Amino acid sequence: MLQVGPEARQWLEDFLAAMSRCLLELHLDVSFSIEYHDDHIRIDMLGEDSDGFLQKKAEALNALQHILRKCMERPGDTGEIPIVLDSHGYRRLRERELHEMARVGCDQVKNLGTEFTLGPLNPYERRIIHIACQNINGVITHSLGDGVHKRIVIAPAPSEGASARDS
Amino acid sequence: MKELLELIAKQLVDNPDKVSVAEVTGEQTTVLELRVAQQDLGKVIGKQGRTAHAIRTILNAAGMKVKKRFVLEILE
Repeated sequence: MLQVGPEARQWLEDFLAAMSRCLLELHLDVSFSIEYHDDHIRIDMLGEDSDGFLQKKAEALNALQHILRKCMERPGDTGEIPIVLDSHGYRRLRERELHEMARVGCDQVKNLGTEFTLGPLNPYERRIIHIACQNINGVITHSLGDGVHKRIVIAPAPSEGASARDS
Repeated sequence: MKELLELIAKQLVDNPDKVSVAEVTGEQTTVLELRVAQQDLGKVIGKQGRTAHAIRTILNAAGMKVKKRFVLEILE
């Protein structure tokens, strides 16, 4: 059970309200709604101009999520609290898109027997792909490259006999 | 924009009273000079510059209606 004390809640509300005010000064209509769940805090970005934060693969949404997580580490003193920042259902949509990418990649690997390399993804997105591929027989996944260029390679799984010989 | 940067920076550091932001306004570009205590430099830069990069991204997104470029300089 996630413990978010009243102080931390107050801090988060004040911080987001202050951020809305700052953005309004810059002619941006953005507001936030906070939901406290058992294992995470969900913040939804609302308002007319919030979709600007979804450009370039939600670069700014992810940046703000990173800052919120970093800032939240202090006042609560409860260690890292998982904060999920979302807007216009982007996270769910992106997750569906990633599952589709995994499915298409796995199909190709199984049909052609060759490796399939996906484009660069962030760690969270790679995790979703890895997990999705685990549930599909006949393929294995590994990562290639470093930092922001890290990609996932889907490869045909070694046959039963070969894997026994390897281990 | 100055207020936004100050708001974010003050939450990230251990010494919020040592945070100051100077705005150098140009025609197309505004340079924001962020000063923090020396021991807080790591906090605003982050692992492999991740936090600094995130701040820059937010500044750019926040400036989309102002039609200006914002450049962040982190100073000791």
